[in-house]
Order: sequence, then C-alpha cells, then structure tokens
Amino acid sequence: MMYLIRRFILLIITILLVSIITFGVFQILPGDPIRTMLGTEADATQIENLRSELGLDRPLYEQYADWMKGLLTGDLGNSIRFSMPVKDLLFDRLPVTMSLAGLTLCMVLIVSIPLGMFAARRQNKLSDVSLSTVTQIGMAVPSFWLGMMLILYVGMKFDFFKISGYIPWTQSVTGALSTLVLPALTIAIPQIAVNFRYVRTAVLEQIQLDYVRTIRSKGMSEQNVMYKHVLKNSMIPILTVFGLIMAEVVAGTIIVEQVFSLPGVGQLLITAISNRDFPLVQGIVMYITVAVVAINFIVDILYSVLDPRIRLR
Amino acid sequence: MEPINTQQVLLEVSNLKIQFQLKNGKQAKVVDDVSFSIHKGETVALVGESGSGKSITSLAIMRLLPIPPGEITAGTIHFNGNNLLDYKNKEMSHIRGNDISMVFQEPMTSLDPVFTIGNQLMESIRRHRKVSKKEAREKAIHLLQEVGIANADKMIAEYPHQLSGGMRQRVMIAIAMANNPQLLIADEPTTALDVTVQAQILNLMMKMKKEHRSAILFITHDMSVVAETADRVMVMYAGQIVEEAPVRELFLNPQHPYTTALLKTMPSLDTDVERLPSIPGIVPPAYALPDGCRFAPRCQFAMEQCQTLQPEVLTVNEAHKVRCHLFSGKEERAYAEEGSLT
Repeated sequence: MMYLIRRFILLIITILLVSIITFGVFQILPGDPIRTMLGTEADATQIENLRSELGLDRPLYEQYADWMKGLLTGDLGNSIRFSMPVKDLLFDRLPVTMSLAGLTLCMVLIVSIPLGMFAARRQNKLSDVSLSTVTQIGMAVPSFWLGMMLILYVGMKFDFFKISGYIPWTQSVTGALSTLVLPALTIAIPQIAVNFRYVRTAVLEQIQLDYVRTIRSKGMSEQNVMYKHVLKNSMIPILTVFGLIMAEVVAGTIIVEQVFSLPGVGQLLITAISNRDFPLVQGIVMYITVAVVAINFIVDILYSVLDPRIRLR
Repeated sequence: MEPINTQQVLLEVSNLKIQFQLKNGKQAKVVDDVSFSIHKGETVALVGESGSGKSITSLAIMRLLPIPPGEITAGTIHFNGNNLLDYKNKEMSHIRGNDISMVFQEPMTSLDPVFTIGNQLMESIRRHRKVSKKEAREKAIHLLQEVGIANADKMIAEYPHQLSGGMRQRVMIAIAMANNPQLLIADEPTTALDVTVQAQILNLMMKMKKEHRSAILFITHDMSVVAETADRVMVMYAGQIVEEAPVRELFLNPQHPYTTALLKTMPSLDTDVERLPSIPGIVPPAYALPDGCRFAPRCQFAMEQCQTLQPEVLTVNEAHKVRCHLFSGKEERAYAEEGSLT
C-alpha cells in the first residue's frame, strides 16, 4: 500500500512540474497570439484591449495561478483561436485519439510478445536471426514515411481502407476500423520492433534461471513452462518498457493524425501551436501528460500485481 | 504395505559418455564411460569434487542436460528396463516429477518467485494425477505438513521469498515427493544451507524416502553426509567412477588413493589437527585430461604405467569395484601367492 501511495504522490508532482514547464516554454516561444488573431493591420490600442480582455497583460504567476485554479475545477479556459472552451474541443477529439492509441497498443502487444517468445526459444536459429534483422529495419523506419507508404501500397489498393477522415465506432465498427487500422499500424510497427527485442531478451534471461529447470524437473509441459512461468516472470522487466512504449504511442498519434487527416487531439495540437493558442496548447499538453503519467501509474500497480516481492515494500 | 524388493534393479546406467562443446572449439569429456546401478529403495551416494561430472550425470538421467552444448555420445540409461534416452521429450515429461524427481542444490533460486508455493506444489500433483483442485490442495497441505512446515494451510499461500532457505528446501522436497517417485535425485541438497539446518533436511529426506518407498541417488562432496545416509557409495573423479562399494566397506577398506585422500579430508573428533588435510592439486579440466590414470598427477602412489595407461575397472569383491593400477598389482601378487602355496 505504501508503495502505491508513494507512486501517487510522484504522479501529482510530475503533473505539476509539466504544467509549469509548458507554461514557461510558451512565454519564451516567439510569436504573439494577439497579433496572429488580429493580423498585421491591427493598431496598438486594439492589441492592448484584446490583451487585457484575455488577461494576458497580468503578471505570469497570476496567469498561472488562475489557470491552475481552473484546472482543478475542470475548466481549462477558452481557446483563443476557436473561441470555444478548451474542454469541449478536447472531448470532441479525444475519442479519435483514444481509439487510435488503443488499437495501436493492442497490435503491439498481440504481435510483439508471442513473436519475442518464439524468437527466444529458437535463439540463434535462422528464424530468430531473420526476425532480429527485420525488426532492426522496423525500428529505423520513420513513421511519417511508413504512413505514406501504407497509404500508397495498401490504402490505395484495397477498397476497405479509408486513407483520410474518421468514422466513429458508434456509427460503424468496420467503418472505424477502416479508418484506424493503417494509422495504428504506422505507429505500431516501430514499437513492435522495439518491444519484440525487449521480450526476446527478457525471455532469454528467464529461461536459463534455476526455477525453470525445477519446473521441467516436475515434468511440466513446455507450454506450462513458457506461457505460465516464463511469461509471467518476463512481464516484470517488459512492463517497464511498456510504460515507455505507451508514451511513444501517444506521441506517435500527433504525427500520424497529420498523415492520415484524422481529426484527433494531435491534429488539434498542431493547429493550436501554429496559432500560438496558449490555453489550447496548455490544455492538450496537460491531457497528454495526465495520460502518460496515468499509464505509468497503472504500470506500477501492475508491477505489484505481477511481482509479489514488490507488494511488501 | 508389501516390502520393496531391494534385489530389483531400478536404474541402470551403462557406459554413459557425455561431451560438452566448449566456446573455444574444444571438446570436454565431462562424463566418460560411467556405469552404475541403483536398486529399488536403495540410497546410493555419488561423491566427488566439483567438476567431477556428478551433477551432469544426474541431469542426464533426468534428461535435463542442455543439448547443445552438451551431448550424450554413448551409453544407455535404463529405468525399470526402459532406456530413458529413447524417450521422446513428451514421454519423458511424464516420468519426470512422477517416477523420477529431483531436489537441487540452491533452494533460494529453485522456486518460481511469482507463484505461491501451493500453486507450484499443486501444479506438479495435477500434472501427473487426475485430481480436482480441491483434492490437490488437500494433498499439498498434507505434503507440507509431512515435510515439517507448520500452519501448512496458511503457508500454502506464501511466496518463496517469504520463506527461509531451509523452508524452501522443505518445499522442494515436498514437490519432489508429491507423486511418490521411485527414484529421488538429490543434488547437494544441503550444501547451500546452514549447518544446523543441514542435519534437519538430511533426516527429513531419509524419513520421506522411507515413507514414500523411494530410492535416492545422493550427490554430494561431503563424506560425513555419505556416512550418515548411504547404503552404497560411488566415488567419481574427472568424469569416471573410480571406486564403488557398500558404505562400510568403503570407509574401512578403501582401495583407490583418491578415496583414501577424500576420507582423510573428513575432520575427526578424536584427533587434534591444526589444519584440515586437503588433496594437493586440482581436478584436471575436462578438455585436457591426462592420457593415463586421471588421478595420476595428484596421486602419491603413481607408478610409471599410471602416466600412460588408463586403468580398467577391477573387482575387489562382488560389491566392491575400483579403477586403479595399484589394485591390479595386488591382485597379481595375490595370484602369485596362491600359486606358490599349491
């Protein structure tokens, strides 16, 4: 229990730090939201009026405290560019990004874990060596290029796939899949490659440990050895990587949503940054932070579920 | 309970040869032409220094030898008349943990850290017996009680890290005994334990052996353990069995200089010594074995022929065998004396 409380306090501190950093970075960044909004023709009084209207002329700490207060009550302020509550904009886009990230994650887990175990059991045989080579390439491929290749050679060839836009799950499940599979694959492929290597290493490390010999000496089947004992033990080191992969997946959605014109949070973020829409950027960054930190918190909980030795501490 | 027929051979290892392919390209003859047998219900000790091949021999019987780099190049291992080396992996898995089971040297790492000891005990029972989860649980609790674990019904939910080394070894013995194996292989089961715990574990093993009517192959380097437990002793050196005899005979009438030296390393309460004796030199590495007798470089009685000619296994009496040129000399002398008498 103490372990989880400590982890939770760490989570709060992380979110706080990120909020301060984004706030600070935006002050240093060149470009002015007011000028962007009013255009080059605007005169000085107009600019001053709008600035005080939006509260941007107040001292920084005041702006930050104000924003923090809003955050705690669930109010993220209004977008300068869209003149709409940031919260509404986010909730509008969130389902797209969540679906994309969720699908990506499923792909990564379903492919990389069995593949990694397979390669570990055939260490240094042809199948293992060729898998390691292929994943080396998979890791090096940039996702924007991969996305375009998938559009060109898969999306354009098969009618099933839509190469831009989004169809909600509630409307049609196959429709949603037709818009999400290719972008998800784009993010997943490099992550599968990375995770495959971690799984392979973790399994190789486990299968030479004493307890595996004991299980074999009990006459347990190879399936029991691999999928009950070795898998659960290997999941402990893999979980650490899993947290990192989730962060990569969330970050990956930003680029891939551009490539596939998906109306998700990532696309919104790009619009917000290019318009210097500070409240919106701050809101989106907070969302990403909370998502990543929450995932890591879940990972920590999973640790203690998987490994009884952690529960005691 | 019908008595165990101790005349019946349970395990018969014949001319077993095991090689290891080393990373530097050399071949290591880890086990070379080893033959021995174990009768039903018998306790046989396999004694030798580290690196003598005793653990490898036991892993070969279990068919748990890592292949590659290991390879069984010759010989047979008959168990109840069937050659274990002919079995497919799947067939062998029904023998392991059921007819032959094993207790390892290192209790701290021999159990899976992320499953409860109950789970690990029950899975072994359920692998070889068709019983319900509830029955397996009851059996598991009973076994834990049998190996002297108090509060067995609560301990069944404990994880290995919550137990001491001695307790973990008790759990290992419970797992090994779960299906009443005909043969238990114990590979230095007390070496990693505190001296006070060692005796408890030894007594427990002898008790379990009696109750479950198993034979034991006891692998150890500790002559005092041998004296306490074994019916018969085999002394192994550099991949070969150099002497084999009933325990009393071996202690009273050792024939091989290596056995004599091993016995001398045992501390005795009667004599007051400042330093415990040790055997000078080291076991030759398995990739660079001497041409002649493998013990010759360390043997104080080594003769000329010992350097060039490998000794054969000679019979001292029906139950006592030795692999040494010294004995063949004695034998000839005995014949000569007999001849002069007639």
